[in-house]
Amino acid sequence: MDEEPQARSLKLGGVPANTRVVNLRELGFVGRVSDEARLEIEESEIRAELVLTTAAQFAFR
Amino acid sequence: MRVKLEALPLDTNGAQLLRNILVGERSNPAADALIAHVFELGARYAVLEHPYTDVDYSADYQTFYAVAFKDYPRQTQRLHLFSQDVTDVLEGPFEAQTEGLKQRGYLGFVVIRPISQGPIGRTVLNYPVPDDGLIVRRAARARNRVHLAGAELHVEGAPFIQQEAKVGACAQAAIWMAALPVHLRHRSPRFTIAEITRLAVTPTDAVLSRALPAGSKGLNPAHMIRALRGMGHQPLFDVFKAVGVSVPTGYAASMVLRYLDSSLPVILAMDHVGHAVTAVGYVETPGGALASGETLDVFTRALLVHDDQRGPYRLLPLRADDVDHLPRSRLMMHDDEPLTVETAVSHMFVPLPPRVFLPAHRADIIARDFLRRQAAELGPEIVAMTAIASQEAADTVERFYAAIQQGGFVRRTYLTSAARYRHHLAQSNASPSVKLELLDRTLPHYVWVTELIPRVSVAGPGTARPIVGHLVVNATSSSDIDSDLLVAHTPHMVTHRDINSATTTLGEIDERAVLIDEDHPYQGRLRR
Repeated sequence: MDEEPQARSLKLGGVPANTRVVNLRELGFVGRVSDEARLEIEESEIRAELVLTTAAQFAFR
Repeated sequence: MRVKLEALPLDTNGAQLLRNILVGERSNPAADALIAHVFELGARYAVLEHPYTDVDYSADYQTFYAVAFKDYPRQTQRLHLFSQDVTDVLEGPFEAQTEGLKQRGYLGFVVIRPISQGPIGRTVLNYPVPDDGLIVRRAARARNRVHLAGAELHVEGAPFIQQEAKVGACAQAAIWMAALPVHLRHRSPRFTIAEITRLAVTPTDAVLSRALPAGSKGLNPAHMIRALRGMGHQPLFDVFKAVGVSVPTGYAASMVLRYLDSSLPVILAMDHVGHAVTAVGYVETPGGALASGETLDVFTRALLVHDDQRGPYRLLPLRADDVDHLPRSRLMMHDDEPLTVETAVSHMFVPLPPRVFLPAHRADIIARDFLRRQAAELGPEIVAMTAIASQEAADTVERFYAAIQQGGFVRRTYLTSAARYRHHLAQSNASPSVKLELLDRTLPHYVWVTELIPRVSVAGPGTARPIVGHLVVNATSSSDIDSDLLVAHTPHMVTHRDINSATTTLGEIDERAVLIDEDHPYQGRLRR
């Protein structure tokens, strides 16, 4: 009698799995974005919006 | 009616012959630049095909010229350029022509419109090949399939077109030059200049209506954004010069280069000359950083620009210092002075793919911020943990974090699809242990990748600069900035940020690092 076909999880890459795992949250580090970076992003977005409020000053021909 | 092919040997009088065909006796700097470019490419032979029905001119004809009182021809001519004589191939058996012409060095084609104010229609020519050590990155290249009689030819270049002043101005030409490579590469819808003008001027306004036909005397930034959106792109835009706007030195170049390095053409506007052009590539130095800064512009001498008035593949130096390192004949000039990105570029517009919601500068800031925070808050602990397995690896990690805090790496941030990211990583010489961590990560369709390049590094036409790590940011994000960064490879460590983890409480991101024993620098992604 034929055996039931079995699925097997593939181990990719041909190298052993990396085993040294560090939980960064337990070390007190979470990858949230700093206030300085948030401010920099906000400032650049506010500046980009000036394209529209200043549009009438320009004509490209 | 039959199509006629005329053979044109480009010998000593070749330039004059081409000029007569293109513009006759009229002054036309774009035509002169185009002719100089084809001779620099090594053109020795041309074939003039006529009549040729060109889709873009047909749209212009239908929009304006068909209803003009003066008679305008409905057909164009198409000029094909080769680096060798092709008469024996074309006069030989038809079935051998495709292979035969391929061997004779096809350099591209120029559609010649029957309108004197803008005769250069759709044109695709090979990119320039500099002979002075500089590297041309053909960012906006697209493969064009061309048929000459029964033969199929290919040219990989950035499409160029001249404005013809009745259906569109430079702004429409710049949009067309930016959008066509995206259409050819990504099968997005194709738009003629007539259609771009219609999208830009609908609904019309007083500014547009000052010109007849409306929009033929130029567009302002709002009209350009409207056209790009109507064409199905996410119109990303920015302003670098205007009342109340100031940006740091190098900022405009760094912004433009991130999109170019993502194979996206960038429309550049220059307010003080009232003109718009399209950046289609850039010119890189093979050596280390040329200027202070931490972004790709420090390795870059110039943008390669299609200017409908000055010609294809012009050079727009980034800084005044770059001018003397570039061939003067290709420089963008105004009143006999070279224009530079730093002094001239006031706006940029990018035809982003519809599903990309995160701009490049935000991805770059997020990557930089993460690295600096990790170096400052966690550096010593990571060094100590790495030292358990290898002191040599720990020393590498310590030097890396010190360099991060001192701005010792150049960040190269570009957009790619998750599939292309995985493909290039799999093909790279990165450590197999690093690939193992990264290649089975679930990722969104588009990601921003930030490569970390040592400031002192070497690049070549066929090689990218070596990198010590890279970060991956979700390009389809638009809401929670804290969940944009997905993964970071830094020396001897891969940080996973699993924003869809089943093991954390609602809203928390699973943040784990995997320490890698075997790690080394590897080649970044090559932009040929």
